[in-house]
Amino acid sequence: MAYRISVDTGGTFTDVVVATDAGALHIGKALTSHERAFTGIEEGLARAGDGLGLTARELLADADVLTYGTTRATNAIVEEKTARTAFFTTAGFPDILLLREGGKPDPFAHIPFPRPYIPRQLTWEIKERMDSEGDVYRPLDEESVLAAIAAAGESGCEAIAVCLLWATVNPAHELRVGELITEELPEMPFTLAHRLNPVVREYRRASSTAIDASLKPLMQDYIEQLDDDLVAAGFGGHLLLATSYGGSWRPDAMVEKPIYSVGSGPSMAPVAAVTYAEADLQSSDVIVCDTGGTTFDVGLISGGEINFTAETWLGGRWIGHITGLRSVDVKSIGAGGGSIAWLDPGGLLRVGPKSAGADPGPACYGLGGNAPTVTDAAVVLGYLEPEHFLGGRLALDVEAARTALEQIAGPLDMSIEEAASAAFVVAAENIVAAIREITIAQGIDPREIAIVAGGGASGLTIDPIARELGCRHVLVPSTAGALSACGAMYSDIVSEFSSTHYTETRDFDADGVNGVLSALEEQADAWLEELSDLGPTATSTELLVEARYRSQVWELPIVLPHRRLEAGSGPRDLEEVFHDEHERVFAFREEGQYLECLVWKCRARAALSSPPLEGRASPEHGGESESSRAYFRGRGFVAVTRHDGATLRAGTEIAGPAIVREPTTTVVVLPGSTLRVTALGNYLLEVDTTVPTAMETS
Amino acid sequence: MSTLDTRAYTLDPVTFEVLKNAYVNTVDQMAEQILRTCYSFVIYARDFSSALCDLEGDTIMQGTGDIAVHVGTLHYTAKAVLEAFEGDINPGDVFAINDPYLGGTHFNDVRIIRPVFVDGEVICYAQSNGHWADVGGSVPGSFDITAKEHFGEGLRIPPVRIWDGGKYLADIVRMICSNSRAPAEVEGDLHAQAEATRIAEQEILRLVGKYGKEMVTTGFTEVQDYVERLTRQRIAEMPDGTWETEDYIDYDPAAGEGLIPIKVKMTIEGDQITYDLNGSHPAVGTFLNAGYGAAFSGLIGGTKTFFPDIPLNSGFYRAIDFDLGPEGSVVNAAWPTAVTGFCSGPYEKLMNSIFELWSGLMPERAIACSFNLEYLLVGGRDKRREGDPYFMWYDWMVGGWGGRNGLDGSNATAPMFGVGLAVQPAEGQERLCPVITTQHTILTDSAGPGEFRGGCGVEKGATLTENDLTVMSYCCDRARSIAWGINGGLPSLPHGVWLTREGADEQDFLGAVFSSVEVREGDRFTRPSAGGGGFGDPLDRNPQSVLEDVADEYVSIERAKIDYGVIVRLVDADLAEYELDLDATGAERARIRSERGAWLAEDPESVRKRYMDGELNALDLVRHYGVILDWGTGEVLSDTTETFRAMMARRAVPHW
Repeated sequence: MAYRISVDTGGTFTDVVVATDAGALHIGKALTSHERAFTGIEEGLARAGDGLGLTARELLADADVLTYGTTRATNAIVEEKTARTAFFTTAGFPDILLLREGGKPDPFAHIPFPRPYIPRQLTWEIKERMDSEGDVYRPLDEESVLAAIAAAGESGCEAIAVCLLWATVNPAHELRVGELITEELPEMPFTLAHRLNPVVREYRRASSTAIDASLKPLMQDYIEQLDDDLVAAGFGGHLLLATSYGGSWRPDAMVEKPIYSVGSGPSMAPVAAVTYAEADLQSSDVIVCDTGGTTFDVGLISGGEINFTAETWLGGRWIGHITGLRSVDVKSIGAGGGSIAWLDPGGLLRVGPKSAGADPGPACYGLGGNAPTVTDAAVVLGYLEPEHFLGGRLALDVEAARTALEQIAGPLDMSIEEAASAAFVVAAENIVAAIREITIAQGIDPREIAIVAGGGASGLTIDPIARELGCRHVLVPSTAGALSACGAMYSDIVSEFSSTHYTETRDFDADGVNGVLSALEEQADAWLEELSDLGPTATSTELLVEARYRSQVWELPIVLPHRRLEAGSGPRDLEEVFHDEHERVFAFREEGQYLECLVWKCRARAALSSPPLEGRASPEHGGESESSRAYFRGRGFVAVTRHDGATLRAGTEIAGPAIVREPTTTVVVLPGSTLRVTALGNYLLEVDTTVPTAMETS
Repeated sequence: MSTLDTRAYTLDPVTFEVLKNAYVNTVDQMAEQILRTCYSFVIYARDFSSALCDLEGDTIMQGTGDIAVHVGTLHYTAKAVLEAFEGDINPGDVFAINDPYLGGTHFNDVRIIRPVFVDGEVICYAQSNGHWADVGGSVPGSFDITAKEHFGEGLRIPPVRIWDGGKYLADIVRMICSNSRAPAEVEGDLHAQAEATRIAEQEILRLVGKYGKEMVTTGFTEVQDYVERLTRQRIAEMPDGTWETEDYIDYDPAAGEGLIPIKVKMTIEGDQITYDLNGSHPAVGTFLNAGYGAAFSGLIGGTKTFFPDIPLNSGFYRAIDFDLGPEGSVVNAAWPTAVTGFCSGPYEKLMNSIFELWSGLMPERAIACSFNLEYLLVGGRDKRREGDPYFMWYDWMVGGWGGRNGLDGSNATAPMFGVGLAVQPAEGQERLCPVITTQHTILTDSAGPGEFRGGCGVEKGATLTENDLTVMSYCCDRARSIAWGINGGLPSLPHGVWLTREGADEQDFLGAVFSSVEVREGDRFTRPSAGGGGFGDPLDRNPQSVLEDVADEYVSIERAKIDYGVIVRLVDADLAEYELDLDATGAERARIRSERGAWLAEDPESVRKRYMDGELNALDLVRHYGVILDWGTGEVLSDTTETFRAMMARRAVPHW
């Protein structure tokens, strides 16, 4: 028996999923061990192994592949525990990381001035300058480089980030700085900007570089330690690391570019979502939701492709630090089970973004919280059963929930149930707005695609959300609580190679472009070749360009229509593809306009054998339900049926109002909706969008 | 008394909250669309705004990230279109307007307005406003400082139709775009903006489909009532009374030296605010004048800063009355007075004045004067490219905001005109222009000293490469009316551009407003952005904070002593290690305390002599002697100095 294992180490929990050859998934959850990841992993493995009658070591000994996602890098950045890092910049530009690209999100609020990623004291100016054409405007003064290297060393720097202006067009100076660092301080890890992120616009390149360099010592140690621990525990398979863009890498690649591990946990949820949606819904256009205690994450998949962005900011858009590299586009808002309901000075009911978190937690946890939260509302409305929460591990205090909700019910002149239900509606509305923003911004009508809802709290509110959006199908995976770790099971090994080469389609440099494309393909092929020991089941490469209409500010990534672009027909065909894509995303096309082409890319992908998707095992006794009551807006308390998810057979249909509980999630089925257990054992909610939503009935 | 107490809401609170969020979401979606499809980098740098307006043209909702300077003007331009096309507004129509004499801001701000129809009736208007990079006129970028009338400034677009029942009026659009130096970009922006209004239309129609026309239009009214109620509640909590202050534009070239006063009197009575600008100076002979829309925007923007959490729509405006004084003043300019520079001129003076007045009412939010909005335009022919195409290096800087009560001012922040405004990447500019940036850094000693100092300004220098027929223009202010402190805080430093000609050793001071200065390959120019004014007496600043500023290179060791009386010694420059001498600090502070009153009374000519001898520098003059020179010639500006000293006697001396 060979197992495939995936692990997602979050800030609080480590989720472990073990897949058998037959495709059965065994999930284990353990507390994250921050000092040494393996401790948590081993415990998670032990729990997952319970179902198979195996110990953690036995599982590891028989595992082919272990895919690992972690928030380690993200947390290190947020907690400012990365390496002491030097920043080498072109003379005259010591404040690139401080000035950023300007702007603050709220024009009338005083937002404290954000600090740079690397302070001025650790910034050294290199006397040199390239111009935009790649010509030397000021020759490299090697003395200034040597002085900077010496000072950085004396100042106790553990890594160096090098970002010189226009090195993307002519890297000679940056390369020479790299050579000098290697000569002077052979052990010093460093990152050269043009190699990591060859984007024009100095701030985002510098920011990528600074973040990457600052993670090198830490992630190198972390990954080596993990590798050693796994080997010592008997693991003889391949360790792969999840990246921020949903594919995975070998450890050596991650040590080289650790910035790609930022956000690598959440990036896997869409991979699971698309896998389940294709199998259960035969749909490859999906909205992916993940609701936890404090945040709601939403991402988008269209045509089977996960949506990406190069605009990921850590610590807030414009005022934080941009990673500047392609990552899964996940929008997060402060809306979760712990979000607090409150009244604004104008008398309006609001929910979130403040959350009671896990400590003190919702009032019903009885841990000292007294603010009314979404979870308290769910208790009052009868959606959550006090004795079955978290598989019965935490008994909920209904009276405390009622007392908390009284704080808003009184001033609103509503009953406690009405207030709880109103809080639910407002919470759902916030999420609806976030989903609408991310879908419409991509030119996608949410009425035409399905939702995959993961995370412990999403099943509570997803039905009214889907109705409000006009979405007819919602898939709630039975593994909703460990969606990211499940995603890692189905992820490919992916890498991207890019090169900046500016040309316009009206005066197209076909030879230059084809030269660049050949070089990129060679790099990609060489990379794929090195993966042969993993036995990929399929490999592929794809060529892209980031292009825009003449003078437009923003680029769109476009898959090339041909692998080489011949003079004449090549640029014409590229324009045609661009027009279509621009129209799809932005709803208009500028027929006859030429394109400015900036960055050329080759994306390589190697698929590994994934566990087959297994059907739900038929339980021996099936389908028992209890009658109970729950409150729905506009209807009051009505009779509902409650079901234990583990007892339901594939194909079972349950008409709302009903409530289905799984160990890590609860699905509320509104009157008018139907829940069907799919062949894979997931829950498909069929929402009748012609029935008025909770939000319309008052 | 509030007129709202008796007005009942008809929507239940939940539906209302849902609709309100939907309106916010709609205007913010317009913004996202514009950001990703615009052509002008000025718009991309976030100089744009979006609104939904009701059947009266009043603003239902404005974008949450909109540039401040457009606030309080979108309803005027909507009303202008409604009036011009009354009875003739049909499905599929789209209109354009940029008229500053009809409530617009300046000619570059072109607004695209689309009616939203339901069952053959208009229910609201979507408006997208963006700053186009060029709308003609005598200088590239359409910022001609010396223009006295609008004819030299750019194309005036009164309300015109650009789509007629769905048919694109290519001839009209061609006429508009042909008046720009960048016709293709401008047409691209027009389409991007029209598309943004279409997205708003789509969203509103979706809401109507879901909630019904009645409920959606009731929401339009009630969301304004809600904002009005919220605003009035807050105003009512303030004491009644009248407060006044004044701020200054540098000078009127038509009238010689002397600061140009802008007077603001604020009255609070019950839940109503009234602003009275009577007594402000007549319009000046540059383009630093404001039409009524722009002046109202300054009043709204200034006030809104003290109520950051209230959404923006016409409900907010209802709680604010105003009297701009007689037509023809610098804050109430009439056609055809040039007004494009209102943003560097009266606009920020109004905002800073209002900040000062409210600082008295809400001491916890008090803030000193911030740096001035500035635009540097270098335009000509790019010799690096075939055909010598036009280029426009259109640059603005971040700078320091005023020191606050208990908090240093914000460093290197976009102007109050638009905090969301982006910093342009040097690499973005250099590909398009033969101008190479040589320096862009935080400027040491730029912050106005105070117990809580102003934010730091920055310095940006550049050199011209291969070009031809190139001129440089600058739209700024406060080379003389320098960003001031409050509660004993000190001013920061003068704005202005310094030019070093190819082969020359000396720098020429070109001033803070100038137009069409010819420049050539090899010429170098640099300019500071001012820091913010200080809050509180700098001699009361914690020496430890001064030490940290020295380590950060925000303050030099020399000026730590001169401005703060703090003696800092260098331990190791490479490791940024410094130490305090607290005994010497105590002695130095005592000396400054006993002497500084006399500095402000010293004969300006004697101060000038010490300046020419190198004993004093410009920062000493501005901060300690209140003496303002023509920074180019070194000549004393007597009237200016007198007014400036009187200003310091009001804002600083009583708190020492």
